[in-house]
Amino acid sequence: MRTSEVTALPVVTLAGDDVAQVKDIAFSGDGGAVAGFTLAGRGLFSGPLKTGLLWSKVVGLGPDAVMITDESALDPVDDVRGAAASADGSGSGGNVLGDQVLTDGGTDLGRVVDVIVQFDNGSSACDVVGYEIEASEHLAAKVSNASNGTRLLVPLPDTLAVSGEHLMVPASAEGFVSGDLAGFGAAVSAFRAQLGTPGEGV
Amino acid sequence: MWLVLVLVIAAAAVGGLLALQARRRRGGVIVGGAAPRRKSGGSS
Repeated sequence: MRTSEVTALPVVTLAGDDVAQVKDIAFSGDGGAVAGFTLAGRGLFSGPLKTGLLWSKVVGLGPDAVMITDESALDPVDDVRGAAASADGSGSGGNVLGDQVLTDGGTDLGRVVDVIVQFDNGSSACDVVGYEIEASEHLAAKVSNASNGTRLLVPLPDTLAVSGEHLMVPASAEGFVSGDLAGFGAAVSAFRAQLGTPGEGV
Repeated sequence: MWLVLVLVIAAAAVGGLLALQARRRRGGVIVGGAAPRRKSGGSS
């Protein structure tokens, strides 16, 4: 699932009250786990809220709404940011949209336009498993039917490297770039198996 | 004439306000718990 499909989703209680909408998705640079969401009000003139939603408080995430039990599930937004912080408190890279993706060999793969998350409503985990990028000339030349700016999906290792304006991926990720979301889960599994980390589906 | 001018100014003000509000509400994907930083030329 793309994070762009989650932003602006309404947050709805099981009683049917529409209490907020998703603004940002916050995830940890340590393991890519989604920590939660920052929220905005539902009114036309309402801005960002001081409350956020921890992923652990999400009852269900569907194509049309994020479900919570009731308004007490909302926490201060700093709690969400704290949950997304690295274990050592470092690694605050800000918004990854627009960041440049570099391989550890120093090759530019493109710029992030979306982030792919994997979750299962039956489990407690929601993880970042890939970036959707606008391909650089280098990457486009390696992928059939791609040109400079074509949107491609790059699988991520279990542990992410994020610093400043750059997102690092292993050079071997180039071999697992996918053009469509349907086959991306298999690409992530194969990539992580090749790295020796546990694979996951999308 | 003055009425048209006032209406144009009012429409521009409302449009600017709505654009500003849309920018404040625009989402992002933040890592490591930082508040989203502003980027020039990119999404924020």
